[in-house]
Formats: sequence, structure tokens, C-alpha cells
Amino acid sequence: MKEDNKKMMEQVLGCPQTRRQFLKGMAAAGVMLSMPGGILKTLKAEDFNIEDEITYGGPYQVFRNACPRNCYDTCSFKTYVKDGIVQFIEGAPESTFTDGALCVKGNSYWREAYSPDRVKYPMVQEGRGTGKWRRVSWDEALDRISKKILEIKAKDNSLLGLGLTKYSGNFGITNYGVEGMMSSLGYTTRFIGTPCWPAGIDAQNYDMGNMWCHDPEDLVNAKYIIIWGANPAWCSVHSMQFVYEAQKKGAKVLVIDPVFTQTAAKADEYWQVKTGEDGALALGMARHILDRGLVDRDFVMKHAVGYSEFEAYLKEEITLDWAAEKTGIPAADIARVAEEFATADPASIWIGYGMQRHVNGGAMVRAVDAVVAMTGNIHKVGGGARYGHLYTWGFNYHALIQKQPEGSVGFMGKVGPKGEFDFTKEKAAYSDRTVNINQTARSILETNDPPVRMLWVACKNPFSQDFDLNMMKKAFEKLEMVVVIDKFFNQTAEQADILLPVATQFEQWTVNVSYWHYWLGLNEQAIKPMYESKSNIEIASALSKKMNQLEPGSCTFPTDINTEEWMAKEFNQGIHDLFGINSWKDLREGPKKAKLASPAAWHDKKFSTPSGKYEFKSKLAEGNGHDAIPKYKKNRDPLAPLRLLTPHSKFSLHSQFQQLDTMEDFNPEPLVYIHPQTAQSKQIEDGEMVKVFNKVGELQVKARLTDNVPQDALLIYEAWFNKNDFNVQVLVDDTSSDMGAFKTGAPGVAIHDQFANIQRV
Amino acid sequence: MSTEDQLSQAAFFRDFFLAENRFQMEEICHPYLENNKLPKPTDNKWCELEFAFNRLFVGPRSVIAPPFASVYLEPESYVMGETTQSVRKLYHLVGVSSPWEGRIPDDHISLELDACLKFHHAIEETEYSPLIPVYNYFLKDHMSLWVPAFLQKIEQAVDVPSLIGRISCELSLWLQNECEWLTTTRVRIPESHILNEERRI
Repeated sequence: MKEDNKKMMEQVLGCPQTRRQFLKGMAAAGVMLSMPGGILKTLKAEDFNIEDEITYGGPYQVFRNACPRNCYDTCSFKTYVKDGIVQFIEGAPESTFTDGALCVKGNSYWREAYSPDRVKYPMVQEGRGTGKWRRVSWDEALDRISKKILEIKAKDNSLLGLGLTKYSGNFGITNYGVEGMMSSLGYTTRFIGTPCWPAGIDAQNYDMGNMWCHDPEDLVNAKYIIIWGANPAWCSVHSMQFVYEAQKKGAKVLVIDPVFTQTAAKADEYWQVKTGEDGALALGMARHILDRGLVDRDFVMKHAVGYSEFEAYLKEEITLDWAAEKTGIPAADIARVAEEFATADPASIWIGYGMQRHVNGGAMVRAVDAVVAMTGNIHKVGGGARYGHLYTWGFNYHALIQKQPEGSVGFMGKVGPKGEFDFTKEKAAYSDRTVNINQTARSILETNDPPVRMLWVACKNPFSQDFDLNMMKKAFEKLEMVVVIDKFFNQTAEQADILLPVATQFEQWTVNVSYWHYWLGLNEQAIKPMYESKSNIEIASALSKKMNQLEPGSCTFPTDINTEEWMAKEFNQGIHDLFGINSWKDLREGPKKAKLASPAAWHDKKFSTPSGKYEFKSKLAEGNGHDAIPKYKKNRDPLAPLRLLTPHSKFSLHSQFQQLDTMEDFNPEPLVYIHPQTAQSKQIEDGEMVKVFNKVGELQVKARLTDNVPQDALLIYEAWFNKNDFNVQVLVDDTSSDMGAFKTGAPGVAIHDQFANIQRV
Repeated sequence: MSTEDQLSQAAFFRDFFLAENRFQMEEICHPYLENNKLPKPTDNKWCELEFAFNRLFVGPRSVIAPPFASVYLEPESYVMGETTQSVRKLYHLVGVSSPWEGRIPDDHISLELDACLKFHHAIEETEYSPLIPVYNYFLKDHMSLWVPAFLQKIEQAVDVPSLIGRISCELSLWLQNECEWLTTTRVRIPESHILNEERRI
């Protein structure tokens, strides 16, 4: 009997027709649950008649969404929703870049929305790091925050004591409303710059006047591809199809990387360059190209300036043997590849962000650019020094650009751009106070008059991603209030006073573009925000409401916003023309690609430099304290016997995604990767617990032996593990890279110029 | 155990697992403590109770005992999957729906206990009710499959205040009593009235 009942009910619940039949019976019997009170509400009679429409029947609703992560691929995808629940997602087939497929991270997105571990409600912690969390209403959370902001203003006569650290946790354009919210409160302290790619941005600006890269789909046209310090097989999986296609058509692919990556495994040739000596390698190649008479004389004479000085430098200072000694790559190999590259037509180099995270990173990118330029490849279809672009980012930044309340007092001093995405071109008597995002801890400790009293953290996890954990802990002790906005608990949330739940991309309207490909993707709200989560601009709006309740006129952010309208306000004629659309609504049919005059950047050889030409010699660079020409710049002196590399893992993006149980299945525990010979010299066996230590700090971790890493290096993937307090930032200091301040307001950070020692525990 | 007791207990459990803070908890637990002649916890104890409650059921860290059926019944521990959707269908089938559809999973313990209340009440009111097979399924083939696993997580957790431990044990007992009530005190499960259309008409 029991089994029969179960079977029957499963049939009723599983089959719409049987259910309809059953419902008729229920209604006829008049037994609807009509007990008053309680939570569950009685459905109205008319709801029964259209039962299959209000619930689980009918086709899927399909929404357009975009991956908002800081990733080359910025995939557009389709979200299939039934009964208000995401059922599955798939890559947008309309995009020739995404080509209907997502990566393992993208495919896991429904898990983010529906993880039982999401931050669900505003929470207040009684003592940072104590784990004593109380659930509060939005009203109470915003009341506490607003009162603190007003207290700071009263105390300091400005809001410079309120700091914002935000980066790329969500690249949806409306999320710049977080910066907008800060402006709408007054002049504040901003952690500016970027930990990602600033040295390379400056380098390309010195050389070409802007950072602009070829369409990655154009890689198929290359006859020779060098992937230099990038690992697209992990970090840009969709780009690999174009690399393979080029290979199939006969192109040779060389990967240059200190680590034998998955991309290296797919290449025709792999060079394990000595870390931080890529500049020497490029200059060695340049010297050989010059010696063999393979320079594109027409290009360097007509479309470049300063080539003769560069040539003189190569002749005087650079030899193949010197390059071989510096880089560990045999001179014969350098010579052979230099010739192959210079004679392949066209030839292209993909410059990875890893390469510029060094004290000489910008100089190295300039040297690589020079190889591409002197061989006449910089502007050619199938050529290019591919690094990144912001060509498609010309939105209105409606959410970002907000006006300070009347009478706001701010900072008076030198101002520059607030990061690479600063489109405000702010000009005012006062400004925000800017400090280096790559030295968050140091900046908090050293900034005074007034000190940073309150920190707002959004789209960022500084405890997991920023440098020198011990210093960060000390810095947080100085803060009077920490507000963290996140989807999941993490090491920064652990140090928050107030934690606010933020909506996933399924739960908000926004629009996304890439810094690599040229597609534009709509992000529609597909489902209601789960629990009490809100998008960043909804949080800003709610905060403004509370601020104005407490002190009228204290915040200018609109208090009543429609997020769909705010998304629409980001569009303008420039975007419409670039993408060939009449309205954002056209994007409901699928992502659209920019109408490019050519797949090649700089195709008309008109550069954005002061001279209008490619600048082997840059006065701007010189004026900013760098070598005018791409000279060899020495790497950082070792501080310990082994180099320490801390890239992010295949299955996470910094701390994002790693908290999902499936990702932890793949990457269940932290490991330090060590070359077998190095391990042997330290008497370390595979699987053994070891101590990794340097002047910054130390940690204990399990050793994994692999000859994928060089003998002189240790590699630990950066990640946050849910049930493990491991944090690699305890070993990484905040030393700056050479460039970045010119275009992003602060220098980059030498993440890969770190050193450590290792021993058995 | 009288029906009235069963119902008031269900309402207590429902409200307890929805409590937002210690003040609500205190208010919800007040009659329960009185009835059971339990000492009133101090303010400090209520604070500890609130922190423990959030560690177990709310967050913001990974919750120790997620109060959602799907976490225990699905091959992977996520919400809003087949289990949630099936529970929602079952609610709709008997004429009710969650006011939080799409925001809070329909298979949250408190929503399910609220459904139990309504089932129990409605079945009490009628001699013969087509609700019985539905409730029978909900109670025995659904709640009995996950609630014990949920309660076990509470039991196995460290630093669980005794009041939460006690409530957890009583909920386990309540579930057994409710199953028994449905099986013995009331009618036999009627033969399917829907699969055999002729008989029903």
C-alpha cells in the first residue's frame, strides 16, 4: 500500500496531465487547505484553472546573461528558466567566440545561485573574526552604516575617512555604481590602480599610445604564434580553438613560460624561460633579427620613431650569448625562433599578464612589443602584440558618475586616473584621496589626517588576494568599521563588521563586454534575487534612502531605481553604432560583435602616441622615469633561495568558484609544487607536509613533486579553501612593478618576484 | 499526544527555525520553556543561542545543517533543484503556495512544517479526505527521508546549545508521532481516487 501511494504521488507530481486530473478531484472535494494563519498562502481559485501556466508547465523562459568575471572570455550565455528557477545554462551559440560552450566555471553558475552556503541576509559580527554573527534587517544594517558615515563626516569635516576597495569581482557595467555610491556621499578615499595588468598597459601606451589588441578570432590568420607568459588553455579556453585552427593551417605555436602549463603541452615548442628574464629573451631575438637583416625597414622608418636608437642599443649592449645566459634558452634556439618569427608572415605574440607582474614587467612588455613592431607585424591581420583592449567599453557610466552632495569637502592635491576603467575625467576643486590598491594594507596603515576609518569592500576579497596578510591583519585593526559585500563567506568577510548579501548575475540587470574579444552581451534579470540579496546599485539606492532619512541631502544617489532602466541608461549612440544595434533590446537576440574596420589593431598604422607613430623611443616613458627605449631592466634580487610563484588555479578565479563543492572535488587542498631534484636536495617527499617561509611569513602545506615547475621555483596556487585557513598571501609582499601609474593611477605589483625557502616540517 | 499538542508543537518548530534574531527566539521559546518548566536562559545564553543558530542554519559561513530538504535528497547538495520543485508542486496541488517562492526554497523546514499543520488540520476536519494520500506521501516519503539526516547534523555538531539539541530531539519525536497519527488514528489510505477516474466520478 505504501509503495502504491508513493508511486501514485510521484506520478501526480511528475506528470502534468495526471496532476491536472488530480487537482480537479481536489477542488471538487473542497478540501483545499484553508487553515487560517501560518505562512503558506491559499491559492486563489483562478490560479487552479491556469495551474499549468503559473507553475511548472509550458516552455522554458530564455534569458540572456553574461559572465561578469574578470576573464578574457567574458562569455555570453543563455539561461533556461522554468517556474522562476534556473534549470540550466548554455553558451550563446550566436557568439563566434564563445561558440555555444562555457568553461567549467561558467557551467557551474547555477550552483552559485543555489548553493546553500550563499550569504543570505545582512549579518553583523560581534567582534571581527569571532564568528559571532547576528542576522539583521537591511534597515538595521544600513542604519548602522549610515550613522557611522555621518559620524565620520562630523568628526573630520569630510568623508576622506571612508575608503572604498573594489576591483573586478563583477564587471557588469552597472556595478560601477559602487564607485558612484561613494561619490554620491562625498569625496572619499579610493584604493586605485589594478593588481592585474597595469605595467603592460603603460608599456603599450608608451609604444603605441593605447592598449589595443587584435580580435582574438583573428589568431587563425597567424602563421606563427608565440604565447608568452599566458595560459589560455586554463584562462581563456575559447581562444584555444583559434590557436588550434591556426596550427591546423600550418602555424607554429611556441609557448614561453617558466611553468610547463597546459597551453605549453598543446604547443609545438616550449621554452622554460628563467622567470623575469623575458625581456632579455626578447632583446636577444631582436638583436638576431637585426643581424640577419630581417627588420621591416619600411615600417620602422616610416611608421615608427626612435628605431635607430633602439638598433644602436641592441648593437652595443645585446648579444645572443648574453640572452642565452640570462634566460637559460640556448643561443641557437633563440636565433632559430627569431628567424622563424621574422620570416613568418604574419606572426603574432600573445603577451600574458603574468609576464608583467615583475619589478621589470613593463620594460619586458616593451621589449616584446619591439620584436613584433620591428618585424612589421604590429598592425597586420594575423599579427599583433596582443595584450588587451578597452575599445568596446564606451558606455555612459551612468551608475558611476554621481555628484557629491553640495558643500562636500575633499582632498586637494595631485590627481590622476582612478584605475584603468576611470572614464569620469573628473575636474573639480576637490577630489577623492587616492591610495594604491596594490598596497591596501600599507595604505591603511600609513594614511592619516584623517585616517581611513571605515572601509567598504565590494567585488573584491583583499584578504585572499591582496599582499602581505600579516600587514593586512594589522591594517584592519586600525579600521573602525568594515563593510563587506559578497555572495559567499570568505577570508575578508571573516574580518567584517557588517556583511551584505549581493545578487548573482542571474538576479540583476547589467551589460558586459570583454577586454579581449569584441562581443557585447546583455545580462537580463532571470530570477528573483534569492533570500535578501541585492545588486550593488540597489544597495547604493537603499543606503541613500537611509542617509537622507537621517540627514536630508547627505547622499545624492537616486533612492528609487529600476535596475533595468539603469542598465539601459548605460547605452549610447557610440555603442549602438559600434555594435550595429538600434537599442539594447536587440541584444535579446544574442550577443553582438563590434563592427571593426579590421580585425587588426593599428591596421592603418596611425598610432595614438604623441608622434602618431610606433615609439621605440618614448619621451613619455622617459618623462615618467623609465628608459626611453625598451632596454634590459634587471629583475628583483632574490630574497630567498627559491622563487615563489602564486598564480590562480584552473578551477577558481582567485577565491571565486573555489568555495563550490564541485570545485573542491577537483582542488581539495592546497599544495606546493616543487621540482623533484629540488625536493631531493631538501629531502622532501611527495605528499609530505612542508614549511614554506620567507621574511613576510610562513605557512605549512603538502608538497607535490612535479617537473612542470622550474628547479629554482616553488608554485602554490592562490585560492581560498572553505574549510582551511590556508592563505598564500602570508608569503607575498607588496613590492611594486615598474609601470602602471601612468594610465591606472598606481603601479602594478610584482606578484611573481617573490622568494621563499622550504623545509620538511 | 493530542492533536492540539501535535499542532502547537509543529507551529513552535516552524517558528523556531524561522527566527531572525535572539529576541524573536526568546519570544517564540517563551511558552515552550514555561510548559516544559525549563529555566529561562540568561541574556548571554540567548546571544550564544543566536550565534549557534546562525552557524547551524543561516550563515554567513557554510551552514552546518542547511534547513532545506534538497540538500539531503538531491545527489548534490543544492537548493531549488528537483526536490524543491516537487515540494512546490505538492503545495500547489493542495491549494497553497509559499509567499517567498523563488526567494526562499519551498522545502525549507519551516515551510514544510507549516504544510504539515495545514494537512493535519484539514484532515482532522473531514472524515474522508483525498488529502490523506498526499500527506502520507509528504510525511513518509519526503520529510521522513530528510528530516532525520538534518537533525543528525545538528546532533553531530559541536557547541550546540542544549535548547537547540532538545528541540531537535523533540522534532524527531514529533515526526514519528505524526506518521503514527496518520497511519493509525485516521482512516486507511483510500485507494487511489485519481488513477481510477471511473470510481471517483
